[in-house]
Amino acid sequence: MMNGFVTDPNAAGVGTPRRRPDSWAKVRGEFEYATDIADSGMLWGATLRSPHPHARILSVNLEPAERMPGVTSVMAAQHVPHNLCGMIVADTPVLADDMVRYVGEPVAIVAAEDPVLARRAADAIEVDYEVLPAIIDPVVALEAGAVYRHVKLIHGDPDVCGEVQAEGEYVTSRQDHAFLAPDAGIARPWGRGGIEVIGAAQWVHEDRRQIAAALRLPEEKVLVRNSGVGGAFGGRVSMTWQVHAALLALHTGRPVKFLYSRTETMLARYHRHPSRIWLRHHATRDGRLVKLEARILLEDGPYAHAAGAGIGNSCTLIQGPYSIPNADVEGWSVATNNGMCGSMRGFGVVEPMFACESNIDNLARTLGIGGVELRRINAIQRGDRWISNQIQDRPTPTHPVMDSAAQAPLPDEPSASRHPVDRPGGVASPARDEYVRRAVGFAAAAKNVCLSEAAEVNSTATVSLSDGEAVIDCAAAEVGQGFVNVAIQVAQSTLGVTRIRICEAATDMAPAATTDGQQQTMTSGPAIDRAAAAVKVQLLRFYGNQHRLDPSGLDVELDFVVDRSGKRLATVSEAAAGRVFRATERFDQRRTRTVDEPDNPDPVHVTMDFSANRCVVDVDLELGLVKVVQMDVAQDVGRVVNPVAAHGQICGGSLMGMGMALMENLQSANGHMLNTDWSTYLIPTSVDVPTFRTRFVEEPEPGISYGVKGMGELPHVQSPPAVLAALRAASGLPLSSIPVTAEILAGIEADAGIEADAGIEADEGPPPAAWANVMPRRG
Amino acid sequence: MSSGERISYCINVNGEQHVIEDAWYFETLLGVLRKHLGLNGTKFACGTGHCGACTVHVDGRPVNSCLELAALTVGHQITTIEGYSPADGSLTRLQEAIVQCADVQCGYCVPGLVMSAAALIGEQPGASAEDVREGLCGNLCRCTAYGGFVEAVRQAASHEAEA
Repeated sequence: MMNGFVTDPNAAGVGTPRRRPDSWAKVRGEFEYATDIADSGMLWGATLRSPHPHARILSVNLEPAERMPGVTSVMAAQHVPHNLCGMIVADTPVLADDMVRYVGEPVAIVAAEDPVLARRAADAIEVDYEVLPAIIDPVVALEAGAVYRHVKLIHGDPDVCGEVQAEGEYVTSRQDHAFLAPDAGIARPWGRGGIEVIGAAQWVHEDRRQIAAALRLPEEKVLVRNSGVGGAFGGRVSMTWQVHAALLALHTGRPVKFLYSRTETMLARYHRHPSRIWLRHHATRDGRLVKLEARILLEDGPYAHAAGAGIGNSCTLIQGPYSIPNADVEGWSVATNNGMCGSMRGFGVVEPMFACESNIDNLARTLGIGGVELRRINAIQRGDRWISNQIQDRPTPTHPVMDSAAQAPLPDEPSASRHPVDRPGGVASPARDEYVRRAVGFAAAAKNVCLSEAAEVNSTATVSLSDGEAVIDCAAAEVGQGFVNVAIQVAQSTLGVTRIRICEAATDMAPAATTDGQQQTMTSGPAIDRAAAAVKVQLLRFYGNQHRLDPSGLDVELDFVVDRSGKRLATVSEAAAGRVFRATERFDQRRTRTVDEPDNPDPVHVTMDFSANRCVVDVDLELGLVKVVQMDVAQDVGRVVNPVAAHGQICGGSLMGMGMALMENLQSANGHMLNTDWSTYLIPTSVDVPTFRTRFVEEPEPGISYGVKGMGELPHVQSPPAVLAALRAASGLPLSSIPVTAEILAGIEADAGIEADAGIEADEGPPPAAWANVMPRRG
Repeated sequence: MSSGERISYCINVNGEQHVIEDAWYFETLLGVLRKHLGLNGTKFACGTGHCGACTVHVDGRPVNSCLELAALTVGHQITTIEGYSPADGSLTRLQEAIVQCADVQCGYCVPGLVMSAAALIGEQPGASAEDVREGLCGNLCRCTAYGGFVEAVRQAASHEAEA
């Protein structure tokens, strides 16, 4: 199940398995999450949501709710000072005004003395709708011109043709973040006319900006604080209840708490965008990639929010971790009424990497070359140019990750007497061994690290040293990933002090980067390193002056001021003599440019990371049941800060990817989500989990403290194509869509995608005209 | 005791009798623990009995408290994570094994998982890793791949068998 990692409560510094500072409270049930926050005298909020995917609001009658006992405040669109928010594009109404555009869109809000009263009051509000036709097919959206962003990317000579070509069309599902803690939090009146909002956030400063804009308050009147966060995975980048609670708290003068049900959490929030991707690889007969053609359609729901960033990532990363001299790539992010779409772990990259890797295997079969060999031949190297025209100028261990995963020892053959949890279908499975086939799949992946395309990426941190203990103020959100430990370990190594704590993120600190795009460790980490280094200089100067010693001959090690020989001169506490040393430093990642300006010398992405996954499966070909037996994952991590946390990120991300490959699909029909609870939206359990063997490839990232590099998203990116490759090898089916259910594997249901060159006829008719029209002509 | 939809009753939680006043008759045990008693260690996550985050013990058996009507637990002994955890602030062997084997990330699933695992160990001292995987499949975790939890529970179960 694991690599035998053990945490150490006494370990300190970068590279050690230091135990998380919050694990003690978490395991005793004492750690406070957003769902747990409660004030005496608080009110409970509830939300009335649209039952229609697309409708005109003819009237809203709040009066029945206002009359109900225990109800304190009832609000609709007319009560919102500035009724638009959103991260990149502010186009999402706080409360629907004249139209609703998805099922679950908030229409009105209520505050009451009790959650049941609030729910009943919200349900008593009368809304008249004129139901309108909904766009539920992204291809129809494309045809209708409902496009948020169109990216066209031509690289090299788009008319070149390869001797061998392989094309395929791939479909991915709407995946839910399925973090454990539902949306919740509290807003309370603060100061003179201000508001404090405490909940689970990934970026408190961006939340503050949007809340202040919606309330028409100056930002200094809004304090956003992060509570304990019960998982995020990109799902807490946009807000849900925050402005609603703030409006009600300002109106009533009392704290207002929201706590969504699981279904409400799934309806109210966005999900990973479903995609449809066509691509054609051109190669020479000996397996060198010559050209990539791709057409990418991302469904982005009824509001733009952050849609443009997703399709930008998709179009630049569709090439995978390969060097391809010529490319003709186009992508569209389109509007539908199927619910919100937005960022999720591997934003805009999970989908194209699944398509890329699936089609690379398709090309390998066409060429008669092994999949690993084809990947090695074309693996991008330092100095190569991406199709975005960016030069790969940072460490590029593509061969080491591929070789490490491919050459790992294979697991033992399945034994007839194995425990039921290790059989396809798990406990009480009807699988019969004579129908079980073992197979191996392989995938490699690349992912951008940090936000891309001209997004500013920077963090500011303050380190204070007092009485031998250092305190870190950094507004970087801890969402479960372990940043608090990363921050402490970096400060320990730099400052030489072991007693360090970090404060919860809040907007009364200087801004830090968003916990998004696997950028926190390599952005806030260096800010903390710089601040800690400055504090150490202050301390040693002070001590040197006091004792007539040259500070350049002094250092701090394990809480002592030491001389060049390592001799301990004083404890840090003694050396400081009651004084407090404090420094604030900022770190900026390098500037990036948009995809649309290829002549700009700046890169599109700050940097890239690479990984490979060799996946072993047992498949019951009769019943379509699957057991993923083992994943050997090798990942480029720059440098490991904490091996336990790094292993945990790789395993957890890979399992989330396995869920997407096998079971996770938030389905919708006519704009209505069908499976908005956990009896029908399934995620992997302890029975489903494979054995994970992880390997870290460490090539330090230049210009970044300790050479660290972000790593949390890539595991999710590399895992779905690895599982699919193994399932194709086991079943012989083309399998061009995910998730692959038992029904598809057993041949009862058709696969949603089409793989043209695999010799299998698609069950579906030709794609709609708009989609066919965007295809390049056959070369 | 009852007036319309509101009722009052007494439940035994962590060895103490608690008067629950003016509760909705349909309130779940999870809701009463959290809202009326402020015992927030038991977590609300799915509300449909599929994730195990709200696991408590009723008469020593693990139950999803989100599916249990609080009023029907009158006369039974309820133990929550607060009652399970040593009062002196230390950790049980099982809890110590979990923090040592490292798989705590966001940690929202952990209190429920501890309660399920404690019951599992009681029923199956010496449980193998595979037994633990089967026994904990009602406790969902989205951050980790369960590896550290399974190893920790196996170690604690193995110690229980030797004791």
